[in-house]
Amino acid sequence: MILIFWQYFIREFEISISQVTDIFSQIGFFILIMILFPLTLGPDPNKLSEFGIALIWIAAFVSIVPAYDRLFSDDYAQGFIEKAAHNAQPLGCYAAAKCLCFFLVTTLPLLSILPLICVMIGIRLSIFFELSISLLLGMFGMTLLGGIASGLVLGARRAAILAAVLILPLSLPILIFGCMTGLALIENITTKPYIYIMIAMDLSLIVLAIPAMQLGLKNAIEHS
Amino acid sequence: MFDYFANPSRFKKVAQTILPFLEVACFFSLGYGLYLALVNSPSDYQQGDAVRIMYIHVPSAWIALSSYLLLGMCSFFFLIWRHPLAEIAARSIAPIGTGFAALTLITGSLWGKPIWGVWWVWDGRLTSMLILFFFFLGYLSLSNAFDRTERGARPAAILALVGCINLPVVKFSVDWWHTLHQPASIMRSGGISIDTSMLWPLFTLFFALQLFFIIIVLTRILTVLNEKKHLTQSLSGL
Repeated sequence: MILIFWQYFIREFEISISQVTDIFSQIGFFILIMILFPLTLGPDPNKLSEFGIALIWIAAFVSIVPAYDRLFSDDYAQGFIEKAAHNAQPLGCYAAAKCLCFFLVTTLPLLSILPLICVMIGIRLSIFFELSISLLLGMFGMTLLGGIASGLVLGARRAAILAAVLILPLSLPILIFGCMTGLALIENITTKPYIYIMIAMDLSLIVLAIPAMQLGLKNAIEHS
Repeated sequence: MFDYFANPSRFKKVAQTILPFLEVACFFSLGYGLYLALVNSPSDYQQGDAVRIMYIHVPSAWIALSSYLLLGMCSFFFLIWRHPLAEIAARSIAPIGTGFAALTLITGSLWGKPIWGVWWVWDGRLTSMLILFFFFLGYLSLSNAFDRTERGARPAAILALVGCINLPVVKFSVDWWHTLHQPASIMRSGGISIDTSMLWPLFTLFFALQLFFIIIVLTRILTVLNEKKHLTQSLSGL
């Protein structure tokens, strides 16, 4: 199963690398959302650094949510999911590989430009490491939720907006605890409880998301 | 027992028999409950007559929560045993639950204005109730998002089950986050903590609204069953 998992993963990774402009446009979207905040909240550095962490989380969420509906839709249109369903391994294995790859190719570029954003809105760079950890944990959970929603909306009308409507209410605990981590960082108190809660949420989401994605994908190919 | 009542025609027969009784019971308990709540109950020593909003607000919150639980259970039965009646029931419950969630939010905000001085606060329970409302909306939009309606049944059922993780959050939010909304004050571990003069109208109205919920859901299920029967009859007549 692990072998198959890696095969799926490498296939996904190669496809994502060949579509590298998608990654750039998503990062561009993230930066553009961040630019909106100084323009709307006013350029006061104190205010910006006070809200900074929350703004980063919102921008990360908003920039990534529109991408989720195409998590499975390309493979669905090309019939790859049906092919994967004929494999001896369960579909959850394919879905997990897909989500892991999607998580890496969306979150790592985001983290790579995060120092720049931190400087722009006046967050001190000494907290960068812990901020990245919390973002990594949060985006991991988000990807699993996105996987669930993406599997459910396959073949639906207006799938992109529907997926966003389904993901956002589910993702609020991640957002809340992610921002709490950030606030704890700013106030120089320990972030451990929040980090642990986020790890717990991610682990339970793995248990929840893989069967849910498998069910959703199976149902979608039965009706295609 | 589930198998026994899950037969659509038997379900129809039972539902049609009990519906008139439920309607009568609902009518009288609603009237009696409203009389108790509006006329024959004391006003609060702090809140005055505004406390009477509670008699609608609290029952609709309970019904909104329990209808999501019911939605999750129906979805579970539909996913595991693929029983069509469970799917019809889930579809019938969802809009009614949405209505009660909306009613909870509206009455809550009407109650909040005179007592708290604001229409809305970002308090744990208010926010999680709003999220519950959006879960209902997500369920409704997902189950109607496909060109063939049956196609949306399983995705929506999966979503309903995933959304069940929000239920304990709504229930316990007032204990976890100590913000404006008062903690559970009707049933505590020490027993009932509200005076009987207020408890009676509350329970009567809860009973009435619950009956109302059941009547509407049963009627919706019966309508869908009749519609399907009509469709097959008109198709076989071709």
